[in-house]
Amino acid sequence: MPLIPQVGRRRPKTRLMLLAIAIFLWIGVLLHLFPVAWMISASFKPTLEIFNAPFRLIPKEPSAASYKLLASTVNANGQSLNVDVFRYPLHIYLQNSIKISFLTLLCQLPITAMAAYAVSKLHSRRAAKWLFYFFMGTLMIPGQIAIVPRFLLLSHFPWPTRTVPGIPFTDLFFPSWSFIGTYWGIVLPAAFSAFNFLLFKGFFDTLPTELIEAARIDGASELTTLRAIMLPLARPVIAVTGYFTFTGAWNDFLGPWIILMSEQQKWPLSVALYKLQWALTSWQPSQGAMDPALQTLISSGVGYNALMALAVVESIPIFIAFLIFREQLMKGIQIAGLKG
Amino acid sequence: MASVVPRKSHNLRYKTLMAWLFTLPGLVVQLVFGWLPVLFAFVVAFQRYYFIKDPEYVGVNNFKEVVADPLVITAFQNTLWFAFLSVGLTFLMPIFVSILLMEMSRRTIRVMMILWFIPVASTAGIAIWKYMYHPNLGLLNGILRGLHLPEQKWLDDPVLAMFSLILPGIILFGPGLIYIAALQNVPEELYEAAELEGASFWRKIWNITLPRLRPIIAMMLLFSVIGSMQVFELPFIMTGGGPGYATTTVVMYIYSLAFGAYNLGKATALAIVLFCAIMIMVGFQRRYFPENIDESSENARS
Repeated sequence: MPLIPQVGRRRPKTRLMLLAIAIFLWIGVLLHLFPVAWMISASFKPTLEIFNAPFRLIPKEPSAASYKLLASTVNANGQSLNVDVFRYPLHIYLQNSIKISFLTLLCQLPITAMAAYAVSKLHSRRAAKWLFYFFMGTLMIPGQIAIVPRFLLLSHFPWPTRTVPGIPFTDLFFPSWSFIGTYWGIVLPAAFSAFNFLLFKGFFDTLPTELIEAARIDGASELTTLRAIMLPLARPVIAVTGYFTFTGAWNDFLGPWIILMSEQQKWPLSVALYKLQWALTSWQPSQGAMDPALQTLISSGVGYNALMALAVVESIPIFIAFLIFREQLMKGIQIAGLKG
Repeated sequence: MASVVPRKSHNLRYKTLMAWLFTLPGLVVQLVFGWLPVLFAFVVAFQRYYFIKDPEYVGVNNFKEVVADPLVITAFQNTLWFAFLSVGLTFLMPIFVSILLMEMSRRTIRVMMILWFIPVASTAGIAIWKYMYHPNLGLLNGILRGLHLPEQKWLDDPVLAMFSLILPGIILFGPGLIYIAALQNVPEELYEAAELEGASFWRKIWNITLPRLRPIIAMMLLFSVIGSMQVFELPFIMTGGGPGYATTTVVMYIYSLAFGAYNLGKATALAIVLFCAIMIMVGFQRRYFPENIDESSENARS
């Protein structure tokens, strides 16, 4: 609610103040948009311009060369570039990011929503209380404590030990699966989200219980009630949690970095971007001779323009997600705020 | 009526069964990937644990090594310094901006919010700033050159590096979604009453808005302290912990102990030390900055 009452807004002093606030806020908006514009601009600059006229916002001779370079795996001389990222074309990384994000979305939302619905509406009060602590407790524990044990757990699931234990009195071992180097190693740990659980539960708590009872009297099963009555009502919350889950999975770097380190054909864009940036910035003039791989890279026209092109490609899908969910987000945020 | 009773108990049993069926997948995932690794951390931390050999129990040896390691001290100093700078310089701004944003017309708020929340992928955002900080090609030194000011080495300067990690957060100021949501629930009558008593703009913020936001501010402060104590990706991608060890944070060191030196026991012991440090900070904060709004206004009045 505005602090300045509507009636007094015409007084000159108040109008000056409102103008000052508006200018301050618009500066903030522009500062926010500028790096985005800078990224797009740099991605369309030819390499020469990156070096010779680095501070122009509008490229003198816009070119899509850096995008073309990323989309191919060979440079102009028909040689493969001796830098990790260029072993695979751009669309491979894009596909990987999409796969990881949608798998996470498909696993996490139903599992989390169902658990939140049960805790909110189906369980006895006692069970609900304990389950709430069970589900929310990890939110209070810094996640980094579990980096190593989680890696061990994923390397031969479900045994968090160094090796798979043998079945006593036999030569056999217990069954185990390795999720290192697979998408499941990223998706499974993210299949439940305490934060989204909180949002879902907060929403289901606001729905009247009579709604469920009415459905039950009509003979609907619990699953039908959830699917036909609860979920349509929950659309704003699903939009918010879905958006957060998607962008979270898309932006995740540490997970894929640890789990998919050795499987380059499975890298998402976040890891590919890091690798390209690392190749570009690892060399310092003080180190003497330039790494031959980097030399190939720069002589074939890869520089910050290609890095920014990769950054643009990485940002487009979440920008699209933002456009799709914009309205629902604006509505849903109020719901999230009420209970969060 | 006799027939109703068994039906009802059947219904109840059915309901309980369905409740647990709905809960089960989440329960399993949370148990296996949420709690099990945390519990297992306390086993790994007391073992000499490498990938290649069978682990053996070594008591508190790992913790002794952690305490004696000068790099751990450096990492903790860096992390605390980062948390202090980051919370100190970027925490209050979103609250302030959100309050000011409420003064705009509904239409302006909508337009501004949409522009403000246009997302950039997180590693992409970090890469943009890495480019901005480039000593020769970067925009920041370009601006300094244009103003005839001394150029900086930014991320390559041991003193400036940590500050450079925070700077984007200062420049890109904006409102916080959660504050906007909370501000919409402040009853307008409170402002009107204050207006009638002749309260000034800033006075209304101080005496009405901020106390109303207090629970959310306390919660967000908690999360931002916990979050900044665990910072990893930002320094890892921007500086790689350098120059030297000037921006090596605790979590980066945990990572390099585990996946660089393969010393899993020591890495986990350090993680537990970090965990304890964060919990102590949380405890302090809960004590001196409670969420309870009534308690604090009681104190203010007496």
